[in-house]
Amino acid sequence: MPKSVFRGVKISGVAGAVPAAKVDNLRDHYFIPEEDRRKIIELTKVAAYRKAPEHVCASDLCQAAAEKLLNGMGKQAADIDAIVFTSMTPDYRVPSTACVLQDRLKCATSTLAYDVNMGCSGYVVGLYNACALISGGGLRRVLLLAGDTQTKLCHREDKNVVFILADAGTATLVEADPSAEPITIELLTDGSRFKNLYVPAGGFRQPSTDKTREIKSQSDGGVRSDDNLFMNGMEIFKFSVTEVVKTLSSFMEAEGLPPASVNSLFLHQANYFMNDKIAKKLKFQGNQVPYTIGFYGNTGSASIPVTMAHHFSTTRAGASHRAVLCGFGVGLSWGVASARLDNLYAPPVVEVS
Amino acid sequence: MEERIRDLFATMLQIDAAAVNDGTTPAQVDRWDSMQHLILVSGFEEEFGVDVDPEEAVDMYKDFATFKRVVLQKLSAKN
Repeated sequence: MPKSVFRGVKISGVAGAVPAAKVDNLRDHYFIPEEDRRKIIELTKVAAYRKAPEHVCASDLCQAAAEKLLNGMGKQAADIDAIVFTSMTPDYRVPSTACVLQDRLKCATSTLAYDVNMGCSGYVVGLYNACALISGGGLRRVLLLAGDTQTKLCHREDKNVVFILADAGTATLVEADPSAEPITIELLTDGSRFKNLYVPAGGFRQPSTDKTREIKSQSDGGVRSDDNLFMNGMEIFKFSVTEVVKTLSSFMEAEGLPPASVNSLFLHQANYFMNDKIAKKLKFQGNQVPYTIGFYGNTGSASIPVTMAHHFSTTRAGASHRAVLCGFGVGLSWGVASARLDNLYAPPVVEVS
Repeated sequence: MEERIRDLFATMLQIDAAAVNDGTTPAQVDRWDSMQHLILVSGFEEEFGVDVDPEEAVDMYKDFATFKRVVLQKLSAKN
């Protein structure tokens, strides 16, 4: 896909919310030996992460983040023209969770609201939607809500996912601003590889049955049912360090953005080992690449914005801040965005019980 | 050096070094899954003070011969 350039649009604020309940990878995952647990933690840097209780959905986390953001920025719900909710874990199969959130956030009925079913690339895809609605659709303010409660998709003894995947919700305010520098976004898809990261059953292709809910030991060492998330770790690693690196590299070159000119590279928080390899390959310095995987784990579509929120709530974005954002994962889908985050508003990440 | 690589490889996977040969593949070793592979690569980087490129880390998941070849190349480039 050619890159899209959105003029007159800016990202003005971002907020994050995480469940209060923590999972401790060393203490809680006793189904594999302690030495292995220690090695996985050392590799991924995920010592602990947040897990939503049964009654908390991605929408609840996004709602908390949205309320924090709007209150902090002095905006009213009536100021919002559209809600884009990007997630793999909606409240219902029907309707769009964005519609439910329109009411819960007390936005006007004139608000456009829809879901984007995406995972780890979801924030960049959602940002594309938000920018297009403003740049092409003439809207003034779009609330981009990116969140996942993907622990609900994982079997508790599938070591391929349960040490990393976590829950969070975020809210980003995208606004019309004629003086804003352009936001450039490139999105890519390779659906031929979708089975490397997917939930085999529970949709309409293969509905959930007693058989698909049966828990089995799998050949990759994981334990799960067909209703659980499956990840082919090596194929995802390969995809990330080849296709994603290639796209990031060509995007930055075409945009005239050498690593030294970028203040922050916000990568989807996949795992530390992989992200570190990607950042080093692109010749970024450690202080240019914020990480929150050690605090929150890999939170799917929320991982980029929760990292932005965490980072900028402690380190001011300042008057001039060039960022490159890159999400990659289920689909397989990946995307890169270049945007200014000048004076970005970012309150501290909130906890939800 | 090859023996040292094989011993460390076997120790990290908790298997008998005598059972490791050039043709050993991930499919033949229960513990050599994707997560353990990255732990292996990381462990070798630390032990030998080398930095494995991500594409090389992917190649190393083919068999022990490839794993060993990459480590030896890294050591050769370092010295």
